[in-house]
Amino acid sequence: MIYLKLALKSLRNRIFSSALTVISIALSVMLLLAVERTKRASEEGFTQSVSQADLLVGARTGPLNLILYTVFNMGSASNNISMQTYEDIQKNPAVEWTIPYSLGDGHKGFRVVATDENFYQHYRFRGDQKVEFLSGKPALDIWDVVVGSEVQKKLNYNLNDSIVIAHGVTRGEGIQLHDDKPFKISGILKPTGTAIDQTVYISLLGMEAIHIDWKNGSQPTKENSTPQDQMTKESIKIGQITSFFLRTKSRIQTLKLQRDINNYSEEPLMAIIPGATLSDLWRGLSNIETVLKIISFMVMIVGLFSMLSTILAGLNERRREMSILRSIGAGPLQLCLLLVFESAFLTFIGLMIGLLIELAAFFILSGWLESQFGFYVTGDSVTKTEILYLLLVFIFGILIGFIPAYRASRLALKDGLSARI
Amino acid sequence: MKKVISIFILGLSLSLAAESHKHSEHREHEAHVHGGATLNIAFDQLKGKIEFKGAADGVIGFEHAAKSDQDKKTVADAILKFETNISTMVVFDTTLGCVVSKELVEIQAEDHADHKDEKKSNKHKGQHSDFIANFNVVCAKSVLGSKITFDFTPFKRINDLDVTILVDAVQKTTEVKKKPVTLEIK
Repeated sequence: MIYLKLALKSLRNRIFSSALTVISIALSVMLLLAVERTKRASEEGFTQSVSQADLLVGARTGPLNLILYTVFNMGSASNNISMQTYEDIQKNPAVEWTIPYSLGDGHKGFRVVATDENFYQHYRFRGDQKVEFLSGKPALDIWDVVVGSEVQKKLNYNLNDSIVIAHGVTRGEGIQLHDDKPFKISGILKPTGTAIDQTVYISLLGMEAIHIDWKNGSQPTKENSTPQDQMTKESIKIGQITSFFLRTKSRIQTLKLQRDINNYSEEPLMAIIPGATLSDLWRGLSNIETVLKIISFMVMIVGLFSMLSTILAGLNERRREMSILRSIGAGPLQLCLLLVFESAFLTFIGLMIGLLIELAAFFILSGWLESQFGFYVTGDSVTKTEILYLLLVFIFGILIGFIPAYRASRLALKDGLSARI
Repeated sequence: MKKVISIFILGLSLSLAAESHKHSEHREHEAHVHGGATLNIAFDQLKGKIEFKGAADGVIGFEHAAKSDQDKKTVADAILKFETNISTMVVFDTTLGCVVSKELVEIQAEDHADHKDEKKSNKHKGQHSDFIANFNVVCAKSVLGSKITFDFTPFKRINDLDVTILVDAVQKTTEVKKKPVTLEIK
């Protein structure tokens, strides 16, 4: 208790330098914990870019390619899947629902995804979050289009605006435009922090309709093109899709169905478990995590050494204080303990402030971080790893205290009393 | 004469159709990696399944058909070793009260003969074989939130095991090399 009293009085006497030391430790701890939480949140956000879908099925390619072009709008499909195959798998008694995706077109640098009502009904990301509308309704009619929040913001779109889809190219402006068949915006989606925000959704019928008179990859002439107003849902037959998500009635059935799809003899297909492939992909990015962790540990060490330098610098100013303490009976060991206690106390306060700032910042910003950057803050407020970091920093803080403590214990009584201050 | 020509044309068409069918027959080979294996675990509430598939070489030590008594004994011993060790190779939290029971353990030969001549000569047939083992699991408590440890060190020739886990909405993977790996199901 006497150490606490003495330390507090001494620190109060040097409030400015003590506060700076605490702030420096707090900021370092906050950074260390923020990096750890960001890592966790970005991993959760990334690996749960799509959830509750048991399998993702596409033409045979690599699992990463399939997940990249279907979930992240990156790269292209190696092949398409015939509608017959899709319907065949859809009818499998183990299947609960499917979400078809048809890709290949773009709009001003954003990918166009053709899908059906199942997307709006069943697609989930980050646990149980579903696709929600800021305004409007799903693109279920032939010429309906739904835009993601980022598309709406960048291109300044409103409901009922007319948009033209470009053929083929999904990056930058398209070369061939389906300008004879414009779409009308029927809905705008809420931000999700996923690739959905940068996507334009149309119906499978819409995708088929804009390509209906194309022959050998060439756009039809005006005379050969079926007028937009003459197209009806009944007149359009969907021939192929690019990939589809699938949910089985039970997880055990998923394994068998995955095997069956991978061995489907009528068409070469590949079925992957999306969450598993995403966590594989994340593991491949673990080097970035390590670099971030190293940087934050370095910041932490700088913080602790700044504490050391502050205490050491203060020690010179405190030679008289030390001498007075010795003159009233304090031995070298007691002085040593006092300084170690001071160091531990400063580290502890710094740790607590750093932890509080970090928790408060993530609590306040979690919604914004999730919708803007896809950081999904979930699980315990303070994890075992974070507690371990805090303990390590605390122990290091105590150990650092031994350096000035050792120096102070070696000062002779006359050093302080004869010093000119 | 007309009849003969008709029969000739019919015969020719059938032969062409057969030839065309022969050319369009399905041909593919699954990848086979020595030292590699996959382990899939799926759970529906308290009931689960463990599915192991890997190159037979990793479990038995060879992939040819066991003909000699010595080979047959090696296969039987390896199967018994796998069956008896499954609970120590896939370790569930003891508090969950999980019971693992065998569903199927078999060695599946891969037919690598895709060419007519090769099939006749039987030179490359059955070069590779896979070891397949499926087990049922019943637990008293849900595995969600628990930890599973994978330790395949009893089989030194399995160097790279890809584990996939499906429990409720949890989809996880991990890679098990030489050392045991623990995975948290959450």
